Amino acid sequence: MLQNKNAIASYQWGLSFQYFPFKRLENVSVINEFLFNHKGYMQDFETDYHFRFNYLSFPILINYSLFSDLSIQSGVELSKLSSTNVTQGRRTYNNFDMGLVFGMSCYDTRRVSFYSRITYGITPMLDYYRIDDLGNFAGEIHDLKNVCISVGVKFKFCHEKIHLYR
Amino acid sequence: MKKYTYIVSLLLMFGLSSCEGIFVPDPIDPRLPKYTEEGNDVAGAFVDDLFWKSVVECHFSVTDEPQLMLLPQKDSLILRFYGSTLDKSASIEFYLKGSKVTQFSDLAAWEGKKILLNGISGCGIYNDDETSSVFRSQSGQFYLKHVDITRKIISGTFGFTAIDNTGKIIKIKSGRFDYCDPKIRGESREDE
Repeated sequence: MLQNKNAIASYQWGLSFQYFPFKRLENVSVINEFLFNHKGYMQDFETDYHFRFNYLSFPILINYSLFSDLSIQSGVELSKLSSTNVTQGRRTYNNFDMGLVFGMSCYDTRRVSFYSRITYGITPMLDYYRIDDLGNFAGEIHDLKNVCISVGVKFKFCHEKIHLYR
Repeated sequence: MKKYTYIVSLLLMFGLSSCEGIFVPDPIDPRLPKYTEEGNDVAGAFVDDLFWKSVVECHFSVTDEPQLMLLPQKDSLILRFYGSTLDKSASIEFYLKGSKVTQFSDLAAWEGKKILLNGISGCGIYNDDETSSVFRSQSGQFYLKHVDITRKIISGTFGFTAIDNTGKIIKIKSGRFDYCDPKIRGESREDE
């Protein structure tokens, strides 16, 4: 629906906690994160229009260690819009966002690890009118889903494993 | 000397200030203002491929605030939106016939109505002040979607095809407006 739409480069930072809930499944863990997520897009007309959104995100992921240095993750990311550069943007865009997460990481057991992740939004950011050239209101638009590809580095502050069993 | 500089600065500040509305970009096409019913004092439309936007400027006691001009003797309502296309002055006007409007509250009867701009029930005019061209509508519509009597807000949309006296045709597309307490000429007092 949106024309001349392009992705923008952005950033995220936050804290990540990893739990090991199953005694007999040591290679399965739960990752819980608190992220400050900067997302957005741009539209290219005569000038570029940048739309930036700051989210507080809470991914909940199931992590499976394929090898000692390689893991895959999947789960959901719940986000709350905290601010935007768009005038009255919090009235225009939905304040809640939810996405499915798929990712992989390497060197999880070391102090510095790397991850790559794709977050595919499943709830539309925008609920708006469809207005034709004459000004008729022809239904509603539920569009604009956050799709983010991220790569990053994790620094391990605490090397101790958090077990959720005795 | 400092005193005079201060006075001149103050005069310039008050005299040449512009009173722009709140431009909320349309999420589909950010060149246009979003359709709102908040009284943001903005209007916008495409004139062919160019973008017309409302401009409100105040010069001392003269102001270009959007005007709602009522002509009850002719049983017509004129809405005039001042603005610019490519930073050159241009206004859009609507002549809506058959109206019984003597004060703002009478507009409530128009809420939700679509008026055809065919020259019979209504007419849309695009004034290009730069070239002094006047384009009159052949077809199209004016939709007064929302009227808030309490907050004195009018919001709506418009779109029409217009022609000037040389035969040049333009299309006014995706027009929308949202104004709070527009200036009304010829309005009778509410307490009368």
